[in-house]
Amino acid sequence: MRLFLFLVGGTGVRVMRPLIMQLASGILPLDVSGNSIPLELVPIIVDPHRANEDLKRTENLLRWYCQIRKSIYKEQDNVRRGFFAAKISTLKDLVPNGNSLSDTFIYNIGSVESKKFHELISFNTLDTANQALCSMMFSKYQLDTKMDIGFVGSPNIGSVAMNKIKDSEEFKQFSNVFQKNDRVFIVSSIFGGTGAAGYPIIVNNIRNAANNILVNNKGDLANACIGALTVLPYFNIQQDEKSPISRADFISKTKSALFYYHDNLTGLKNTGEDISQSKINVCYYIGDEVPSTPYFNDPGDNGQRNDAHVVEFVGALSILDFLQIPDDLLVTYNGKAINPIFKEYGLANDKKSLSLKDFGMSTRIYINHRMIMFHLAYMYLTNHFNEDIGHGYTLDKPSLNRGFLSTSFYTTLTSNFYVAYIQWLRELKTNQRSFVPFNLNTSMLRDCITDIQTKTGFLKFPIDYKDVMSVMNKCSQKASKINKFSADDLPKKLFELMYDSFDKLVGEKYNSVI
Amino acid sequence: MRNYILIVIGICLSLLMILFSANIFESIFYDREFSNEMYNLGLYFEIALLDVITAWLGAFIFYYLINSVRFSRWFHWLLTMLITALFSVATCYYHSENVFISDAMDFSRQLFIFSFINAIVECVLFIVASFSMRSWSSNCRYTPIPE
Repeated sequence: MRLFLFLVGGTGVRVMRPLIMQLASGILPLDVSGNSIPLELVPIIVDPHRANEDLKRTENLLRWYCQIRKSIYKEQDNVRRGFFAAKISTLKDLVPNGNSLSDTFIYNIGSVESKKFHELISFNTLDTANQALCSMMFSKYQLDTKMDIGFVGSPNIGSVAMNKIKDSEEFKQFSNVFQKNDRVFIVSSIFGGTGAAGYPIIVNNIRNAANNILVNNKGDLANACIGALTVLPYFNIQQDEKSPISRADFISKTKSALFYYHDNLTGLKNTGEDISQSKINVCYYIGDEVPSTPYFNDPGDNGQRNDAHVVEFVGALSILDFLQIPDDLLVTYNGKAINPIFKEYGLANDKKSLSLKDFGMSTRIYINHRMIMFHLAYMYLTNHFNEDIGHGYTLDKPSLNRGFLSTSFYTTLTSNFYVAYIQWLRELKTNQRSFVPFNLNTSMLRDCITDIQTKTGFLKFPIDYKDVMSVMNKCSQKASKINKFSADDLPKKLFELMYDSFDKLVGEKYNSVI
Repeated sequence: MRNYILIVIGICLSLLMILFSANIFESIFYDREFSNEMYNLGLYFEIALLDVITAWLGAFIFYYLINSVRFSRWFHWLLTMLITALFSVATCYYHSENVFISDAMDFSRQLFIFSFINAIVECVLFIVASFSMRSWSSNCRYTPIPE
């Protein structure tokens, strides 16, 4: 299955980060029988604020993920099991040669980024009446805003600027490669500027594809299955009188946007009455009433780097949930979703500090096992793998020797991806409400999972690195008998052995992880 | 295939040890009276049999009953070999001495020297058994020396 994932604004970019971690853990959407569905994800970041630190972090993570996955699985598409199983592609990867797209995840809204808003609308060329109208709708600050830092919490300027999307090369190529069975998902916040503006514009451009002469594939696009995550206010910012962004405005902006969405997106009207039709097939809403640790009030000039929050983590799960909804429940006719679905999320335990045990049962069943496996693999590679080289499974052909530690794959994994992973976990821990799935202050496997104990009993010892090696030895022995791995499959060998081993160990050594 | 060849070789070498025990022991250590009594009483055969059984049993315990990552390094294997050798030598010594005492013979000094030889033979048998059977061990198949 292929998903085009539009990440609009800062919140869109921040939700991508936990999604990358979930996909790295091997979490995939499941069909009705519970079997994994191979996934190809095409993230499209829509944010003119190129210098946004959160954007840069997410873009780096995406690149590293792709490099790691390519090393493990080469160009294989239909991977149903394993860490980094889901494939992540840029739009350029899908488009035949000879196009002018750059090999990046970022949507090029070049003409928007480089201008001030008044230049974009050619304010100086307007007649007096229109200039007066504009002055009523947009403040002087907004007219003078250079949009290379986004739309500074102002969806009114965003909604004008983002209309350029439909004329872009990216949208044209997206329409070219989009197929009937592909899906679209849009992540945005409702209380900011870029996300609140971009979300309805992207939806309308897709649903109104029939009217766009640049677009091929009009029928498939107009009736595409579209899901959307709307993130309600969930974080706090420091009060700054000089900044155009204020938390006090979040609620009022949210209300305005929700009314607009209701009338134009999710609850359409027919001669003044609501009809059960929507342009969106599935709408997800998430927010939190617990005020976060106040972020630095940065409209964008200083890079806008905000700590990870559990709302983003749960928001990422909505994307996977959307992919699991069967096709027959996502029927679209003439650009309108038949029987649209609306979802919210509730925790099982309303605590200030959450662990993996505090989510709902279905979430725990879906993610806990894989997230724990991934963290144990991280612990093993970080704390013990070095010692095991030259022993046991590392000697089975193809052998893992010290030279493997200096390969670009291993360096990207340990010096880049894992460093970002731990940083993400630390931010989740220190934020409010905090999310602490793992104990970051230990190097012992038996203590590393919050609220989940290892099994103990007569002759039952807590898990340690020797147990890991023992299971990996057994798995490797079986693989060697059938010559499963070739000489250039070293990353695949390591990751497949770790996946199989930790899958077994989590079940054997821990009391119920669900 | 290679693993099966190794185990067949190991079994053959062990059988040769049992069948030609007298020749092998006497080629290493020969004292006319002592060696004659050892041969006549059938002690060479008994000691060789005990050595082979102990060596293969010791190797089996290390590679399949213990078979632990925590006890899989070369020095763990060496310790197992030494314990096996000690056990075999002690058993053979006391058995042989009892036989000699019951026949009113005193070969303490020769038996002592023979025990050192027997220890070396036991170690060699342990090495043969190790390399023959280690391939199927999940945690110790590269102990003491990788292939």
